[in-house]
Formats: sequence, C-alpha cells, structure tokens
Amino acid sequence: MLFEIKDLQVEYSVPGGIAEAVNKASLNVAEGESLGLAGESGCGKTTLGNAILRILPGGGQITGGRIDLNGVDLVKLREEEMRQVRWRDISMIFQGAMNSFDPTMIIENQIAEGILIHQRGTSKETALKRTRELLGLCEISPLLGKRYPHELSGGMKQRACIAMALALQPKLLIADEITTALDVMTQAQIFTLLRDMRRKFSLSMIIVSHDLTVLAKNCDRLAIMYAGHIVEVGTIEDIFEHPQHPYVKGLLFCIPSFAGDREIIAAIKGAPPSLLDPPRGCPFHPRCPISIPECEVEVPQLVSVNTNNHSVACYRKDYKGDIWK
Amino acid sequence: MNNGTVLEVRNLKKYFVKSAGILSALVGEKKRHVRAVDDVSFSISKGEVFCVAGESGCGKTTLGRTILKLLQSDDGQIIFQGQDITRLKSDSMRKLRTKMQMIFQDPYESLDPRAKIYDSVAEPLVVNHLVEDEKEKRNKVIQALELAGLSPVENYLYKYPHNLSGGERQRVGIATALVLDPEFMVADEPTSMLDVSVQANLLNLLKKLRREKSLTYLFITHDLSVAYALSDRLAIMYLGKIVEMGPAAEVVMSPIHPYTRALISVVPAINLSKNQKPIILPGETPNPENVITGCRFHPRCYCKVERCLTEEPPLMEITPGHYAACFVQEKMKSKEDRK
Repeated sequence: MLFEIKDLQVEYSVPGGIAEAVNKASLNVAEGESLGLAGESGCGKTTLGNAILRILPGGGQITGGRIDLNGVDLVKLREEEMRQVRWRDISMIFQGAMNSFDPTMIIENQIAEGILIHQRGTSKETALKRTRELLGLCEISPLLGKRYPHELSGGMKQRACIAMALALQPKLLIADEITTALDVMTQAQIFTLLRDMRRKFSLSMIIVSHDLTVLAKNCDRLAIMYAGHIVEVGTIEDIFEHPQHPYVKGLLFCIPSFAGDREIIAAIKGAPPSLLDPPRGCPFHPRCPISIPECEVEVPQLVSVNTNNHSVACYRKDYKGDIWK
Repeated sequence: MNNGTVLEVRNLKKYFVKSAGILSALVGEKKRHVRAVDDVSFSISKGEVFCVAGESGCGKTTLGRTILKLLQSDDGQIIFQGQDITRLKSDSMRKLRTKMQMIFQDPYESLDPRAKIYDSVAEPLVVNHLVEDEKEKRNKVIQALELAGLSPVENYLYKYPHNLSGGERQRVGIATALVLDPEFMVADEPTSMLDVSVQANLLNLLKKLRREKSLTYLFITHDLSVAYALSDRLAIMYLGKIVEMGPAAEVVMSPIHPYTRALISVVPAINLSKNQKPIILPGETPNPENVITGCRFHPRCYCKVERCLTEEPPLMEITPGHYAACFVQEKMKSKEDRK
C-alpha cells in the first residue's frame, strides 16, 4: 500500500475546551488510486487532509495514530524532514489556493521559484523549462504563463495550481474542495485534467469535497466522515448502490437528483453534534431513527461487510427496512 | 395563463457602464457597457415556480434585482399583477414591496448581527406601519417564524444570528420575507451555502409554502439539480440572454440548445444516464464587455453554421411551450416536421 493512515487522532484546543476533530480515522490509498473524502461542513475532512501534511492551524495537533507513506511514519518525522516530504512526495491544492499566488510575480516565475528552492542545484533555465512543460500539460498557453495572477480567470488559476502541485512529481496529491467556487463547466474541465495527470504520472489522489456527486464521477473509492469519524468506506458503487450506514443512506436521499419523481426526501433532521461535547458512543445516534441502547455506549468500529473491503461503522448495519421514508 | 399572470417581463434590459478610468476618459476612449440582462422576456403565473439557471456572470442575479427594482432597468417593462412598475416612484413602490419579497443567498451576511431574531423579523412590519400594537406585532412574528419551520419559536425569538446555524439563519431570512404575507418571492441562490441535508429541508419548506400560501417564486440558481427538483418551468441564461426556456423536466431531460445540452451533460448528478458522454465546452464564458456578433454562444458552439456568426437567434418555440434560441435546432425541427 502506498499510503495508509491508522487510528489517526487530531484535536484542537479552543477556548471552550478540546475539540476532537478527527477520531481514530483509518484509510488507505493504493498507487494510482483516487479516494474521495466526503462529509458536511465541520465533519473533519479538511482537518484530516491538513493533518496528513502536518500543516494544522494553531491549536491543532495530532495526538495519536500513524500516517505511513511507503512505510515511513510521517507523524514521527522531524519538522525539517517533513518539509522535504511536502510538495516533493505529497502535495496539496487548497480550497482558496487559486487566490494564494503572489500578485506581484508572473505565474511561471512563481512555479519556477518553487522548483529552485526544493531542488538545489537546478539552474534557473532548467526550472523555467520544466515549468513551461507543466503549464503546457495543464493546458495553459505560454502566453498566459507570463501573466500576473489577477489577469487569469479562476479556472486558469486553478490549472496553474495543479501545474505547481505536480512540479516535483509527487506520489500523492490532496485536493481540498478545489472546484467549489467554480462553475460546472470549469469544474468538468479541471477534473478531466486531473484524471489525465493521474494516468500520466500514476498519481494517487485524495479528493476532499462536500459534494458527493462530484466525487462519484471522479474517484474510485469513497470515505464518508461524520463528526470526526469515518463512518463508511467503499467503492463508488458500494456507497451509492448499497449504502450501509444510516447517515450515508440519509445523505444520499438529500441530494436532488435527475431521477424521475423530483421529490427530495429531506431525510436527516437536526444538526451534527458539537465536537467540543460529542455524544457518547456513535456520534450519529442522536439523529439516527434506528439507534439502540448499545449505540449510546461505545463508538462502533469500521467492519468489512463484503469481500471488496466495503466497511461501515454501525451496530445496526444489518437493518434492512426503510429508515428514512 | 390559466391562473392569471403574477409577473410579466418584456424585453428587459440592464446595462452597466464600465467606468473607463481617468486616463482613457482623457484620451476620449468610449465607455464600455456590460450587457448584464439583455432583452429578456418571460411571464410567471400564480403559484408557479419559475427558475432561472446559469453560470456565474450570466446575469441571473441582476435579473432578479432588476425585477424587484433594487436596480433600475434600462429598457423594457416589468408588469406585476397587471400594473406596469417599470417607472414607478419609490413611495408607490414601497407599498408594492410588501407583496414582492426577496430571499438572499448568504444567511451570514443578510441578517443584522446586532439585532435579535424577533427584531429582525419585526422590522419590515414596523417600517411599513403594518401593525397597530405590540401584541399584533408579536403574533405576526411568531406566525412567520413558525411558517418558516423554526419551532418551538420561543427558542429563537431572543437569540442573535450568531447563535444560529446557517440553515436556521436562512429560515429567519425566509420568516422576514413571510411576515409581510407576500405573493411573490425572488429567491437568489438561497441554499448554495448550505450543506445538502440542510438544503433538502429548506427546499421542502419552499415547496410547502408554495402549496399552502400559493406563493409564486422566481428562483435563481446555478445548480441545475436543485432547479430540476423545485421548478415548474426553467430558463437557462447565457451572457445576459435566455437561451432556452420550457417545462423543467423537458429542459433537463431533452435539452435543445447546444449550451444547455453541454451544461446538463457535465452536472455531476446521481441517476443521470451513465453512458451519456459529457460535452466539455472549450475555453470559458467570454467577458461580457466584449460584444459578440451573431449568436453569443457561437465562439464555443460545436454545431454552429454560418448564419450564427452574423445573425442573433431569437427565442423560438421548438416544441409546444419549449423555447430555444438556436437556428440549427430550429432548422432541424422544421425538417422533422415536414417529414
């Protein structure tokens, strides 16, 4: 396995106490695979992505678990060693990344500068040549590479971000809500580009998004998070055709679809729990219509339900009836 | 129109002047116009949900604001319940506004952070002098909050916006509109900032209000799956113009205009035929400052003919009630008819 997370714990100390943002999360990504990480706001998906690169904001820290990249535990690395891993082995594109370019520098110089800093001994010409190749791959014309960030559209800037993220040929790319602010057509263009790059460089990806439909189109497998816990993991088909967790079943009903009857079944009522004071046991039990006393005692573990490694964390996973109708 | 028309818009235009800057003004450069809404016509019947969808910059928000006269139109007519309101003065408009309300996109920005929920919802009643005494005011506020699905009401009345979640805030926004007992609502992306489970509950609330209060909506969204779930009729805008309009199910299931076809093919929705190949358009929506001759879509169109480069296609009825602004599709249709 290229990349594996085991029992990862992330906490934030905030004025009101300690928030458990990621709770015993385990995941793996194979080479060339694209894993979707989904959930609603505040579920911990972005925190999990940031924890992988150890770039948690102030007050956040990893309090347990392992993050293995090719057998090396990133949690144990010293900061200087970690700095080498970032961008070279694992790179990340953030939600607002397209607005994080230096406004006073033309695009190609910014990318080349990054290469120069990370690969000492590279000549400026080589770095620029490599940058232009990358921009070309990401379908940015050489002319646009000579422009300033404000002269590019959102879609073009996002392409430049992808070019930058791929500059050192990382093994794993984490993309956090990268198309959230973009129109559907641009979104489709960006994901087509990412798919091509994935094939070309046999790149592994973790795509973080709140939008399950986007992930369904662009990932091999999906992990669904709720209140800091991973509650279900499976292939796209497993999750969409045979969801097991009551939360995932409800979430799928909530998505307006292009199916026949045009009814939206607003399944899940209420709001997710506060991470400062999470409920005992399964985090979903206060909103779950089929919870049993057991659910309120201990957090259910992810267990496999088929040979495909489709796994779910629910004591009532064998419940067959309609939960939400 | 069987139920009577609530709103009719005829050839509505709203142009923004792009200020040229001192230097260009000195050298006598011409002012440039952004044609945000350019010759848009449609009508909405009582109790109908009419949805305007399109990508960012297509003019959908400007259209909604111009109709409510938050922006002054440049040309065309807006007829509300038989009355031409295009040139109405602000005092007379104020009375009408109680019947036309708006739900805004951002529930975090559209409420006064220093006002309690009760005061926010009561404010429209106060400024319009619609209540006689405190008791009547309180009753109306409670009623509106209940209608908006905030119950028990006592839990909300004396809270501040920051105590509420995004979904609850948006419900307060809806209550603020409902308290005036409006007949027509413009909802501009009311759910685009909310999680899907919250969005689903809110869309169902809008549906319920329409059933119970026979409210009429102009619903503005970028999300075609939301448009499909909610609307009776759907109009697709591109660069200030409606390019396709018809019953929502028809526009989504059998789109006519090449732009709509491409747009729908890339919406990542569940249950959309898996074998359908996405039509990915080249490039981006052109800058609306640049005037494009002929059909506005022709630079990105994959089935254009010569005529499209010079002549602007009007909105033509292709099948009963289903309109599209495309010469190629119209021609194909008339060929089929002759057969």
